[in-house]
Amino acid sequence: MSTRAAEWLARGIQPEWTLTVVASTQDESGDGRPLADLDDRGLIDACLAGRVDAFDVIVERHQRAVYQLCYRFVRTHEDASDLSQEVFLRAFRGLRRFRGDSTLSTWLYRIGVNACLNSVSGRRAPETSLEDAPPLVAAVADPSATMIQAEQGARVRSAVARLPRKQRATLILRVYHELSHQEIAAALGTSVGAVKANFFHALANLKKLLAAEAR
Amino acid sequence: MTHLSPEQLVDLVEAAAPADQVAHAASCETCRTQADALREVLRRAASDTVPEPSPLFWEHMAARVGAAVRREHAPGAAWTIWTWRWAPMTAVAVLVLAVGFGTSMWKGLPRGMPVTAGPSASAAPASAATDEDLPSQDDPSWNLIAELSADVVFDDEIFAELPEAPGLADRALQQLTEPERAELARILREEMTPSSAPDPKRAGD
Repeated sequence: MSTRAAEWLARGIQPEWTLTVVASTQDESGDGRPLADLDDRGLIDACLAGRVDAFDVIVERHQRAVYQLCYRFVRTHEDASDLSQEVFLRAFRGLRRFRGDSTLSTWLYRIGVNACLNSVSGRRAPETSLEDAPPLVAAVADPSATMIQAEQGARVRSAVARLPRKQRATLILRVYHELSHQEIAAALGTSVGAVKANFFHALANLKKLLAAEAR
Repeated sequence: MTHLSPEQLVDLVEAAAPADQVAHAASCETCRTQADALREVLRRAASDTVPEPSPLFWEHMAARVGAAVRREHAPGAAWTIWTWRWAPMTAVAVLVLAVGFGTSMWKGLPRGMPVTAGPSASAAPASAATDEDLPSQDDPSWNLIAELSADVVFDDEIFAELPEAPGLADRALQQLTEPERAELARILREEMTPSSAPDPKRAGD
């Protein structure tokens, strides 16, 4: 408080005006922090309090992982984009049901796996081709090496797509998203033991499928 | 000698196995070979990366999801979506009920009898209803229902838990309005028509 204000107060002088400072809520949470500084729980709380823009931050934070998960299942850029949107919409609709027993990313993975499995169960998985891949950004250093790598990748993806549902989901979450066995168990609603057994069988089957393709 | 289980082999491949299992794998050719094969396929699988979309894609994606989310209501107001979805059906149902109620009121009054006439039939105990209270034989909807339900075996398992009050079904039917009876007749006809029966529309094909 300034000296003059203290003097006024001591003399009982009240100003005839009031000054109200209203903090801008643009890009800020209820406690004044920018939304981007909030953790996932804070963003969810802000979202439930009516801040839809808090969900924008959640999307920005998790869209890459969700897209990559979807791409692993559907193997085309267009379908992965559509499914990613579907995953986020489902998450938004069910945000109130998120209890925080697992991390938000694990919860999103769970929604994503369900959406992907439902999506791919109703149709035949597409054959992966280079045309399906999204436009590459990185400069191509060695075209022939890139081509070989792309072919090997397509072969692996094709084999993964032929794994049974649970094995496929387990392998994708473990190998490509590096979730722990506990997180995968939470995402798939199963036990750690079952996750490990599924992972073992997924690898064993993948080995057979890759060997069969090589012949 | 007991070999490592699938779960233990996974732990071994991921370098998370306890010392005794590591020692076992070192001395057991079968388990070591299996673990090596798993490591190799794991390496091959892990080498595959998802092609990275253009950086512009992420902005586009976020904007697309943002727009879709804003088209929805806030999470707490999700019920309003259902409200709007059901509103037309609810309005139609209310209208049908109102028309049905009005019709039954109009038909329930004997010609020339004022509304305030003595104790009504509905005030009497339900068990007092007799065959005279049933609709006349000239009522086509009633006849259709009677005809369709003639073959129904009411002591079937499915009806076993229904209360066994005599004349209960008749009284229930009696209380239906004309449109409700027509709808019931339609449902009964649909339910009792064998699915394998030829489609009359296609009979001439």
